[in-house]
Amino acid sequence: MFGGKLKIHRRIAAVGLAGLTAATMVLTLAPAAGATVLANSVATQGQTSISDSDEAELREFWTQYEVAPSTQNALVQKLRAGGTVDALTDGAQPTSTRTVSSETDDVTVTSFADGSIQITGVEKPLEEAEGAISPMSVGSCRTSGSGSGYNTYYDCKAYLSNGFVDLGFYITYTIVAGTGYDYIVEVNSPYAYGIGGTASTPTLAIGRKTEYAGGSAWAYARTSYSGVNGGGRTYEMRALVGSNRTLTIWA
Amino acid sequence: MSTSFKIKTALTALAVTAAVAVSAGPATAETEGHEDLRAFWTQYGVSETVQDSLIDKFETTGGFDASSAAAIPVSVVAQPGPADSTANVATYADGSIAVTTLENATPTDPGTISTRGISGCTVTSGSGYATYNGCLISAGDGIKFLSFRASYQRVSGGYAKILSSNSPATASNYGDMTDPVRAYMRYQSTSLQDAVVKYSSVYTSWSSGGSETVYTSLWLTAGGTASVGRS
Repeated sequence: MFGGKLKIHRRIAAVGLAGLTAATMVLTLAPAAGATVLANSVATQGQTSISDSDEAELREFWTQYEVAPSTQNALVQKLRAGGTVDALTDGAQPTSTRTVSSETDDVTVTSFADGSIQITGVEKPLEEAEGAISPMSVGSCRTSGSGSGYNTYYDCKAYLSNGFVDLGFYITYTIVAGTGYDYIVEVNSPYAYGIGGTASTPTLAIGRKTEYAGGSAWAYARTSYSGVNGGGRTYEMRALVGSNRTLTIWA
Repeated sequence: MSTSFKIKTALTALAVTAAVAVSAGPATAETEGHEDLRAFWTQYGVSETVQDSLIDKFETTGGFDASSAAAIPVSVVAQPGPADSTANVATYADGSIAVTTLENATPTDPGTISTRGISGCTVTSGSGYATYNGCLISAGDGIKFLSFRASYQRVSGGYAKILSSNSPATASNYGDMTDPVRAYMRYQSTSLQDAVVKYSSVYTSWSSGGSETVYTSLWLTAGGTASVGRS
């Protein structure tokens, strides 16, 4: 299960600026305000620190994105002591960002003062939709269809991760040519995966169905994460649809 | 092994036997030597060498690449599955696999009672249609399994549709899974969009306390081609 999460990172990691201009999904994660603690986390009762398996998975995640072993040791030491890391802290300011590209994705890696990271990924196009109105592709969408001045992408996956929480859902959206307003058709099937703690069954909703002059259409998934160190917060991932492209961010 | 763990294992063994016996599920329910994982992998041709490395990885990290529904496989191969089903075996970079199965249908004549009883998957063909009844849909990665049954219909010159779904079941030897629920349904396909029904459960690992939303889904194209997904 943990190795699978890492596959998500690899998948997300293949995205880049090229993917941004050409296609589909930008993925990010950030802690939401108003964090809550999951009160009934039976699975983590009695635990006061991350487990060995948590550590192994976190180290694999950090190694994948080139966090130095000495930094990893320091981060693990903080977590083992019952503390938290900057990437999980509300209001923590990043110190740097960089992009890691592969054949399938590009990932933006954001680093914080203590060396912890969070990632933002964009899937590169897997195929080009016939008759698409823009260079955007269907990415991991199941199907697509175009009409006069618009293209609809059906059942597209959007996923994000920060090493502790994965969030995702399916989205169907329509890109309207030129300056027409793009819109979200539907969202469903929210997905959450918690490492070093539990992530509650995510809630899913559309915040704004149609793009407008002031911003994008957006949908969001939220989960309450409860870490084994006792900390917890609500994470919210948003998929934005506007300006003839889509992206996902932490809210 | 603690008493509570033994109880969980025993209960899960029953769940595995009862619920997923004819799906992609493990052949046994013993966890101490991971015989259940090995039996699952052996069933789908994973070499012993790879199995050894996966066991090492599992004991170190609590999982492997195939464990996430969002992971990208390096290959997907269709092959005969258990209990007269067709399996799609997705192999991941570390050699782990995720298997989805769709039960094969036994033809019956319209208007007759199925020869396989209510637990079997049958197809009844008529003028311009074919109806598949009670077919088992299953998905699993060796650690957690989620299955259900569905009926669907192909229509010549029309759009295929899912008629019903029921009997969801879960099984795991390594964690708790909540009662599965029908999480999403779009029974009618269109020229642009597949019909789909999804069941979900939340898996919580006993060893790590980590949790994950698990899905098994049946997708049906307008032309009536059925496939099984894990998200």
